[in-house]
Parts: sequence; structure tokens; C-alpha cells
Amino acid sequence: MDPKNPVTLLIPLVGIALILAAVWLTGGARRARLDRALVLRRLAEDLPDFAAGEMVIDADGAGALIAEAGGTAHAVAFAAGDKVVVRRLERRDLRRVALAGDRLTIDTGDFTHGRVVLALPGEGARWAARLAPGERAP
Amino acid sequence: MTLEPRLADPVQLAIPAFILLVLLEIAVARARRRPAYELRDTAASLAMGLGNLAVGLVAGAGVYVALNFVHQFRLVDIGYRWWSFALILFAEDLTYYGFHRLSHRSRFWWAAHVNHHSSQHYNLSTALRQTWTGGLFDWVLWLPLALVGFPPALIVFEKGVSLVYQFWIHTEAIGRLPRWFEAVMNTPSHHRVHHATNPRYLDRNYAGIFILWDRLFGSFVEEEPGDPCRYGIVHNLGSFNPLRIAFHEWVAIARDLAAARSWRERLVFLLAPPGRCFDGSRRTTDEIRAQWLNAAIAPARPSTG
Repeated sequence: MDPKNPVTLLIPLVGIALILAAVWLTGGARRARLDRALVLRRLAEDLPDFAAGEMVIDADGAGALIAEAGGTAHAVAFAAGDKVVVRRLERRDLRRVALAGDRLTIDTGDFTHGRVVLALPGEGARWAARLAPGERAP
Repeated sequence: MTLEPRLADPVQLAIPAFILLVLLEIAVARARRRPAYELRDTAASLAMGLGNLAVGLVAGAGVYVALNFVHQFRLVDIGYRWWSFALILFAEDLTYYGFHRLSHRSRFWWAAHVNHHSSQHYNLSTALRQTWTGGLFDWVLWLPLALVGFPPALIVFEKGVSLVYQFWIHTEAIGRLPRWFEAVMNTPSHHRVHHATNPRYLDRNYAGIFILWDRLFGSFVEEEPGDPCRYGIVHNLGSFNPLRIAFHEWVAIARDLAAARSWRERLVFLLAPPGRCFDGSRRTTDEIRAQWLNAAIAPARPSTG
């Protein structure tokens, strides 16, 4: 790229606009919708040591919380575009767990993603209590 | 004084072709009803590519100065002959192989390279998801070529050729190519393996142009139809923010260094393979592969009961 020649800057910028328009027009603005089978598959692929126990899926299918069977850890799964990201959550990883209405916010301080917000009608308080730092293991 | 021929910048020349090929791949994916592109993922990849060009503008002059400085002490004067272009093709590609292998096997280098692997998609826009930080230091590995005697402009030209070659192999639109081509050249199939996180495929196929280096140095793995590639990194990113993409591993290194209890731990966190840790919270590629192999072998073992 020649900084003295504006055309060399213009071509990539026009190209980016064209590509993004083409992706949008062909249905590229989509998001993964999580269900139990998808979450279990991604857990098996990304966290093979994690034995999934009880699971709750976000009302919009944007995320899920999973308790470890026979353990105190949890996992969180959430949509990133049309793909899914999973993370193991130990108590020490949790910086903040907050419940506002049915919305459970999990902040781990993980730089690779922002806070995870899950809509969990009727389930939020129970899962917040399970996750909350300092809670005694059953 | 030696007059250097003015060599074109292959990447700059190829940018219109990059754009057209991405548009073509989007159309092909649409026609096949196999969605290959997601909007925010694509935007992030393109932003990374643009940022890489900007860093290249700033760092490029310094790289030329360094290459020219080393070139003063060249062992032989290779110059610009027809065979110089043939020789640099192989010499640069071998250098690239070494750089690329190091970029996966040492965390400091991985921190600059990881963003190229950070998409869970594999398409031509992924090729443009380039580093923002590697250009500041990775050029040191190309200095030996200048010391051997390759003209600096020829080295930079060939680096561009390599980058342009590697663009078209970032696609699922092309299956397998003729056997002779797959045997010698890096192909979409070989490079899909490189971008996959399946334990079988992790840290394999480092080639730039010629897959011969992987075959020669034992890092080659064939794409298996029964084990479809899952793209991304072991801990996939949950963000499309280019700043998080570009700097997340550097932030992780800084946090680990801050928490390290000794200089040995600091060295390990900085230079050992990615995933190496002291609390069992992460795993290296070798550990992931060993666990996978054990799991694959275990059911086949006869019962001793």
C-alpha cells in the first residue's frame, strides 16, 4: 500500500464494503441458537474432561450454564456469531455474578470475551446461588 | 554501487483479486447452501487485514534498513539472476516453515500469530486475518537470507509472493487437487488441517508454498474425511473486537508473568509451547494429543479382568 497514492487505500476500503454487503445480503448476520445437543457436542469437543450434569439454556438460546456432574465446577456456553464458545468456570474464575430480574450476568475477567448475560426465567436465582463465589459446596 | 531492479509489491497487486475471490467464494457458498461467512467474523478478519497493512507501512522501512545492514556482510553476492528467483522461492519458503513452526511452538511467537487462527470459520477472509504485532519482530528470522547474500528487495518480494500464494488455500470450496499437486504444494486440504483444532490435526502442516517441508520434517498430516476439521483455537474467542483478537494472548502472557513465582516460571510462560502451565488449568498440544490417543486406544485394549 502506497500512502501517497489514495487509490491504493481506496481499493481495500471499497472491497471491504462490497464484501460485508455481500455477506449481509446472503444471510450472514445470523447467530447460533443453542440447544442441549449442541452444547453437549461442543463440551465434548472443547472440554473433554468436563462431565456435564444439570444444564439450563438461556431463553433466547444465546447461552447455557452447565453444572459438572460430581464436581463443583461449571461451564458456560454462549453464541459468538453463528458459532459457540465454551468455558470451564471454577469458583476462582468468577469475578462477579449478578442477577437483575431474570438476567444473570457472569463476569470472569477473561479478556477473550466480555460479560456473559443469560436470560433464565425462573431459574436465575438458583443458578446465581450455585455460581456465587463463597458458596459452600454441597 | 549496485542498482536494484524495482520489484513490484505482489500483495498490493493482488488486493483486487483477493476482493473478487472472496466475493466469488461467498457466491459459491450461497449456491451450495453451505454458509461459509458470518458478518461479524468477516468484519473482524477484514479489520485485522487492514490493521496489518497499516503496521506494515510503519514497520516496513525498519525491516528494509535491517535487511540492508545485514546484507553488507553477505557471504556471497547472489544478486538478480534468473536462478536467484528460483533459489529464493525455496530458501524463503524454508524460512517461512521455520518461522511458522516456531509461531506455534513458542508462546511469545504464538501471541503474535494466534489471531490468524482465531476464527471458527475457514474461508478466504480468514487469510486476511493477519497479525498486528508480528511485523514488529518476526522479520529477524529472514535476516539470515540477507546474510547469505539474497538482495533485501528480493527477500521482501518473495515474502509477498508467499503471502499471495497462501491466500487461495484458505477455503473449503476446493476439495482435493490432483495427487501430484497435493504431494508437492500446500493446498486447501493441507491448510484446512493446519487451521483445525481436532487433536489429530493440531500443530501440523506449517508449510507456506511447498508441503515438502512438512513431509521432510515430520509435521505432515493428511486431511481425513472421517474427521472433519473444526476450526479455531483450543480456547476460542468469544469476541469480534479486533483489539481483543490482536492482543488477547499478550494480555494472557502479561497476567501469567505477573503471577509467576520464579524466573523459571516466567521463562516457561513466555517461551514454552502455548498451554504450558503449572496448575493444570491448560494443556499443550502434545498433552491434548496424548490424551486423545489414550482415549482412542483405551476401548481397543483387551480386558484383563
